[in-house]
Amino acid sequence: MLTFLDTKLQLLNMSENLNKDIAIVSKEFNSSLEKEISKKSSKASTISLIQYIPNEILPKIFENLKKKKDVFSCCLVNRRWLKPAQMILWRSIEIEIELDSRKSRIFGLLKNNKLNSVNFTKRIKFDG
Amino acid sequence: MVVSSKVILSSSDAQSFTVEKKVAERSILLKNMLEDIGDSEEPIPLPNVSGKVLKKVIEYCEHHKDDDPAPAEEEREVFDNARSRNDEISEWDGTFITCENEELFEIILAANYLDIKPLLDLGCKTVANMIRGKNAEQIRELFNIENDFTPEEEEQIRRENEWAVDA
Repeated sequence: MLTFLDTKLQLLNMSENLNKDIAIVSKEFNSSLEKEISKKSSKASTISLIQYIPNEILPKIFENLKKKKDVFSCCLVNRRWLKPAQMILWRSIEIEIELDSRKSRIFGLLKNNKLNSVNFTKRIKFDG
Repeated sequence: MVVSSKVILSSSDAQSFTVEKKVAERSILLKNMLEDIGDSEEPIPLPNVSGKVLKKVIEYCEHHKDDDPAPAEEEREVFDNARSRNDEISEWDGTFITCENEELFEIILAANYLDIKPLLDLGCKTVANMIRGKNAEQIRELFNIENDFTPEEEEQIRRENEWAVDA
Protein backbone atom coordinates (compact mmCIF):
# COMPACT_ATOMS: atom_id res chain seq x y z
CA MET A 1 0.00 0.00 0.00
CA LEU A 2 2.80 2.30 0.96
CA THR A 3 4.66 1.62 -2.20
CA PHE A 4 1.51 2.34 -4.11
CA LEU A 5 1.13 5.74 -2.40
CA ASP A 6 4.78 6.45 -3.00
CA THR A 7 4.41 5.71 -6.63
CA LYS A 8 1.34 7.89 -6.76
CA LEU A 9 3.22 10.75 -5.10
CA GLN A 10 6.13 10.27 -7.41
CA LEU A 11 3.79 10.33 -10.35
CA LEU A 12 2.14 13.49 -9.09
CA ASN A 13 5.53 15.12 -8.67
CA MET A 14 6.54 14.07 -12.10
CA SER A 15 3.40 15.40 -13.68
CA GLU A 16 3.82 18.67 -11.81
CA ASN A 17 7.35 19.01 -13.10
CA LEU A 18 6.16 18.05 -16.52
CA ASN A 19 3.51 20.76 -16.36
CA LYS A 20 6.17 23.27 -15.38
CA ASP A 21 8.32 22.12 -18.26
CA ILE A 22 5.43 22.39 -20.61
CA ALA A 23 4.69 25.86 -19.30
CA ILE A 24 8.31 26.91 -19.82
CA VAL A 25 8.47 25.40 -23.26
CA SER A 26 5.20 26.93 -24.34
CA LYS A 27 6.25 30.28 -22.93
CA GLU A 28 9.49 30.12 -24.85
CA PHE A 29 7.66 28.98 -27.92
CA ASN A 30 5.17 31.80 -27.64
CA SER A 31 7.82 34.43 -27.22
CA SER A 32 9.81 33.11 -30.14
CA LEU A 33 6.59 32.95 -32.14
CA GLU A 34 5.86 36.55 -31.21
CA LYS A 35 9.34 37.56 -32.24
CA GLU A 36 8.92 35.72 -35.51
CA ILE A 37 5.56 37.34 -36.17
CA SER A 38 6.82 40.83 -35.34
CA LYS A 39 9.82 40.22 -37.58
CA LYS A 40 7.49 39.11 -40.37
CA SER A 41 5.07 41.97 -39.98
CA SER A 42 7.81 44.57 -39.77
CA LYS A 43 9.20 43.08 -42.96
CA ALA A 44 5.75 43.12 -44.53
CA SER A 45 5.29 46.76 -43.67
CA THR A 46 8.51 47.64 -45.45
CA ILE A 47 7.54 45.73 -48.60
CA SER A 48 6.95 48.53 -50.98
CA LEU A 49 3.59 49.13 -52.60
CA ILE A 50 5.47 49.07 -55.89
CA GLN A 51 4.73 45.32 -55.82
CA TYR A 52 1.05 46.18 -56.28
CA ILE A 53 1.62 48.46 -59.25
CA PRO A 54 -0.09 46.63 -62.13
CA ASN A 55 2.20 45.28 -64.85
CA GLU A 56 0.74 47.59 -67.48
CA ILE A 57 1.90 50.66 -65.54
CA LEU A 58 5.55 49.61 -65.39
CA PRO A 59 6.24 50.48 -69.08
CA LYS A 60 4.66 53.88 -68.46
CA ILE A 61 7.27 54.45 -65.77
CA PHE A 62 10.17 53.13 -67.84
CA GLU A 63 9.35 55.15 -70.95
CA ASN A 64 10.08 58.28 -68.95
CA LEU A 65 13.68 57.16 -68.61
CA LYS A 66 15.43 58.80 -71.52
CA LYS A 67 18.72 56.95 -71.10
CA LYS A 68 18.86 53.32 -72.25
CA LYS A 69 21.34 52.69 -69.46
CA ASP A 70 18.63 53.40 -66.87
CA VAL A 71 16.17 51.08 -68.63
CA PHE A 72 18.86 48.39 -68.67
CA SER A 73 19.19 48.70 -64.87
CA CYS A 74 15.43 48.15 -64.62
CA CYS A 75 15.76 44.90 -66.63
CA LEU A 76 17.98 43.51 -63.88
CA VAL A 77 15.79 44.46 -60.90
CA ASN A 78 13.57 41.34 -60.78
CA ARG A 79 11.55 38.97 -62.93
CA ARG A 80 8.46 41.13 -62.96
CA TRP A 81 10.32 44.18 -64.19
CA LEU A 82 12.26 42.36 -66.92
CA LYS A 83 9.62 42.13 -69.64
CA PRO A 84 8.19 45.66 -69.40
CA ALA A 85 11.73 47.09 -69.20
CA GLN A 86 12.83 45.10 -72.25
CA MET A 87 9.73 46.27 -74.10
CA ILE A 88 10.90 49.86 -73.68
CA LEU A 89 14.58 49.05 -74.18
CA TRP A 90 14.07 47.35 -77.53
CA ARG A 91 11.18 49.51 -78.79
CA SER A 92 13.34 51.85 -80.75
CA ILE A 93 16.98 51.37 -81.46
CA GLU A 94 19.38 53.88 -82.94
CA ILE A 95 22.32 52.59 -84.90
CA GLU A 96 24.78 55.00 -86.43
CA ILE A 97 26.12 53.92 -89.78
CA GLU A 98 28.49 55.59 -92.13
CA LEU A 99 26.89 56.47 -95.41
CA ASP A 100 28.43 57.15 -98.77
CA SER A 101 26.83 59.89 -100.84
CA ARG A 102 24.51 57.55 -102.74
CA LYS A 103 23.21 55.87 -99.57
CA SER A 104 22.73 59.12 -97.77
CA ARG A 105 20.76 60.43 -100.74
CA ILE A 106 18.46 57.39 -100.47
CA PHE A 107 18.10 57.79 -96.72
CA GLY A 108 17.33 61.47 -97.17
CA LEU A 109 14.49 60.55 -99.52
CA LEU A 110 13.21 57.75 -97.27
CA LYS A 111 12.96 60.14 -94.34
CA ASN A 112 10.69 62.37 -96.40
CA ASN A 113 7.32 60.69 -96.00
CA LYS A 114 5.62 63.24 -98.25
CA LEU A 115 7.12 61.61 -101.31
CA ASN A 116 4.88 59.16 -103.08
CA SER A 117 7.71 57.04 -104.36
CA VAL A 118 9.17 56.12 -100.97
CA ASN A 119 5.77 54.93 -99.76
CA PHE A 120 6.25 51.98 -102.11
CA THR A 121 9.30 50.82 -100.18
CA LYS A 122 8.33 47.87 -98.00
CA ARG A 123 11.68 46.38 -97.11
CA ILE A 124 15.11 47.74 -96.31
CA LYS A 125 17.90 45.24 -95.87
CA PHE A 126 20.99 45.84 -93.80
CA ASP A 127 24.16 43.85 -94.32
CA GLY A 128 26.87 43.90 -91.77
CA MET B 1 -33.10 73.51 -65.60
CA VAL B 2 -31.42 72.90 -62.27
CA VAL B 3 -28.27 70.90 -62.51
CA SER B 4 -26.85 69.44 -59.36
CA SER B 5 -23.20 70.40 -59.45
CA LYS B 6 -22.02 68.53 -56.38
CA VAL B 7 -21.00 64.91 -56.08
CA ILE B 8 -20.39 62.92 -52.91
CA LEU B 9 -17.51 60.44 -52.95
CA SER B 10 -17.13 57.80 -50.28
CA SER B 11 -13.72 56.26 -49.57
CA SER B 12 -12.91 52.67 -48.60
CA ASP B 13 -12.81 53.75 -44.93
CA ALA B 14 -16.22 55.44 -45.26
CA GLN B 15 -15.01 59.03 -45.33
CA SER B 16 -17.27 61.27 -47.40
CA PHE B 17 -16.06 64.06 -49.65
CA THR B 18 -18.36 66.53 -51.36
CA VAL B 19 -16.83 67.88 -54.54
CA GLU B 20 -17.89 69.88 -57.56
CA LYS B 21 -19.05 67.68 -60.41
CA LYS B 22 -16.46 69.35 -62.60
CA VAL B 23 -13.73 68.27 -60.18
CA ALA B 24 -14.97 64.67 -60.00
CA GLU B 25 -15.08 64.54 -63.80
CA ARG B 26 -11.30 64.78 -64.01
CA SER B 27 -11.65 61.07 -63.32
CA ILE B 28 -12.84 59.34 -66.48
CA LEU B 29 -14.23 56.51 -64.35
CA LEU B 30 -16.41 58.97 -62.42
CA LYS B 31 -17.25 60.96 -65.54
CA ASN B 32 -18.63 57.84 -67.24
CA MET B 33 -20.36 56.77 -64.06
CA LEU B 34 -22.05 60.15 -63.65
CA GLU B 35 -23.18 60.06 -67.26
CA ASP B 36 -24.73 56.66 -66.65
CA ILE B 37 -26.47 57.31 -63.35
CA GLY B 38 -27.40 60.94 -64.02
CA ASP B 39 -27.73 63.36 -61.14
CA SER B 40 -28.03 61.65 -57.83
CA GLU B 41 -27.67 62.56 -54.21
CA GLU B 42 -26.29 59.14 -53.39
CA PRO B 43 -22.62 58.99 -52.44
CA ILE B 44 -20.44 57.12 -54.93
CA PRO B 45 -18.48 54.38 -53.17
CA LEU B 46 -14.81 54.07 -54.10
CA PRO B 47 -13.81 50.83 -52.36
CA ASN B 48 -10.26 50.89 -53.74
CA VAL B 49 -9.28 54.31 -52.44
CA SER B 50 -8.62 55.24 -48.82
CA GLY B 51 -9.77 58.57 -47.44
CA LYS B 52 -6.21 59.80 -47.07
CA VAL B 53 -5.40 59.14 -50.73
CA LEU B 54 -8.78 60.30 -52.01
CA LYS B 55 -8.25 63.63 -50.25
CA LYS B 56 -4.95 64.00 -52.05
CA VAL B 57 -6.45 63.01 -55.42
CA ILE B 58 -9.28 65.53 -54.97
CA GLU B 59 -6.68 68.20 -54.19
CA TYR B 60 -5.06 67.44 -57.55
CA CYS B 61 -8.37 67.47 -59.42
CA GLU B 62 -9.41 70.75 -57.77
CA HIS B 63 -6.22 72.39 -58.93
CA HIS B 64 -6.59 71.04 -62.46
CA LYS B 65 -10.36 71.40 -62.85
CA ASP B 66 -10.01 74.07 -65.56
CA ASP B 67 -7.42 72.19 -67.64
CA ASP B 68 -8.42 71.00 -71.09
CA PRO B 69 -10.66 67.97 -70.81
CA ALA B 70 -8.94 64.63 -71.03
CA PRO B 71 -8.89 63.45 -74.64
CA ALA B 72 -11.11 60.59 -75.70
CA GLU B 73 -9.60 57.12 -75.93
CA GLU B 74 -9.04 57.18 -79.69
CA GLU B 75 -7.32 60.57 -79.57
CA ARG B 76 -5.07 59.55 -76.75
CA GLU B 77 -2.26 58.18 -78.81
CA VAL B 78 -1.79 61.35 -80.84
CA PHE B 79 -2.12 63.35 -77.67
CA ASP B 80 0.36 61.10 -75.86
CA ASN B 81 2.98 61.51 -78.55
CA ALA B 82 2.62 65.26 -78.56
CA ARG B 83 2.74 65.44 -74.81
CA SER B 84 5.46 62.89 -74.14
CA ARG B 85 7.90 65.44 -75.50
CA ASN B 86 6.97 67.62 -72.58
CA ASP B 87 8.85 66.21 -69.60
CA GLU B 88 8.50 69.24 -67.43
CA ILE B 89 6.65 68.82 -64.16
CA SER B 90 5.00 72.09 -63.19
CA GLU B 91 5.98 73.64 -59.89
CA TRP B 92 2.58 72.98 -58.31
CA ASP B 93 2.58 69.33 -59.49
CA GLY B 94 6.14 68.88 -58.24
CA THR B 95 5.24 70.06 -54.75
CA PHE B 96 2.03 68.04 -54.80
CA ILE B 97 3.75 64.76 -55.69
CA THR B 98 6.61 65.18 -53.21
CA CYS B 99 5.64 62.59 -50.63
CA GLU B 100 6.65 59.26 -49.10
CA ASN B 101 7.21 56.34 -51.48
CA GLU B 102 4.16 54.50 -50.19
CA GLU B 103 1.89 57.48 -50.65
CA LEU B 104 3.26 58.01 -54.16
CA PHE B 105 2.39 54.43 -55.12
CA GLU B 106 -1.04 54.75 -53.54
CA ILE B 107 -1.65 57.84 -55.65
CA ILE B 108 -0.53 55.97 -58.78
CA LEU B 109 -2.87 53.08 -57.98
CA ALA B 110 -5.76 55.46 -57.34
CA ALA B 111 -5.07 57.46 -60.52
CA ASN B 112 -5.03 54.21 -62.47
CA TYR B 113 -8.26 52.98 -60.91
CA LEU B 114 -10.05 56.34 -61.25
CA ASP B 115 -8.59 56.80 -64.73
CA ILE B 116 -7.01 60.22 -64.21
CA LYS B 117 -4.35 60.09 -66.89
CA PRO B 118 -2.42 63.30 -66.14
CA LEU B 119 -2.09 62.27 -62.50
CA LEU B 120 -0.98 58.76 -63.49
CA ASP B 121 1.61 60.34 -65.81
CA LEU B 122 2.81 62.61 -63.05
CA GLY B 123 3.24 59.63 -60.73
CA CYS B 124 5.08 57.59 -63.37
CA LYS B 125 7.41 60.50 -64.18
CA THR B 126 8.16 60.91 -60.50
CA VAL B 127 9.05 57.22 -60.08
CA ALA B 128 11.22 57.46 -63.21
CA ASN B 129 13.02 60.45 -61.69
CA MET B 130 13.76 58.35 -58.62
CA ILE B 131 15.14 55.48 -60.73
CA ARG B 132 17.31 57.67 -62.98
CA GLY B 133 21.07 57.19 -62.51
CA LYS B 134 20.73 54.15 -60.22
CA ASN B 135 21.91 50.62 -60.88
CA ALA B 136 19.68 47.56 -60.35
CA GLU B 137 20.82 46.97 -56.76
CA GLN B 138 20.22 50.60 -55.80
CA ILE B 139 16.74 50.46 -57.34
CA ARG B 140 15.94 47.28 -55.37
CA GLU B 141 17.07 48.98 -52.18
CA LEU B 142 15.03 52.06 -52.92
CA PHE B 143 11.79 50.13 -53.34
CA ASN B 144 12.49 47.07 -51.16
CA ILE B 145 12.41 44.66 -54.06
CA GLU B 146 13.88 41.20 -53.77
CA ASN B 147 16.21 39.98 -56.50
CA ASP B 148 14.59 36.74 -57.71
CA PHE B 149 17.00 36.02 -60.57
CA THR B 150 19.48 33.18 -60.47
CA PRO B 151 23.06 34.24 -61.27
CA GLU B 152 22.70 32.43 -64.61
CA GLU B 153 19.57 34.38 -65.51
CA GLU B 154 21.24 37.62 -64.52
CA GLU B 155 24.20 36.78 -66.74
CA GLN B 156 21.85 36.03 -69.66
CA ILE B 157 20.01 39.36 -69.22
CA ARG B 158 23.33 41.19 -69.18
CA ARG B 159 24.49 39.49 -72.36
CA GLU B 160 21.23 40.32 -74.11
CA ASN B 161 20.76 43.92 -73.03
CA GLU B 162 24.10 45.30 -71.99
CA TRP B 163 24.60 47.07 -75.35
CA ALA B 164 22.25 49.67 -73.90
CA VAL B 165 24.84 50.83 -71.40
CA ASP B 166 26.91 52.49 -74.13
CA ALA B 167 23.91 53.68 -76.10
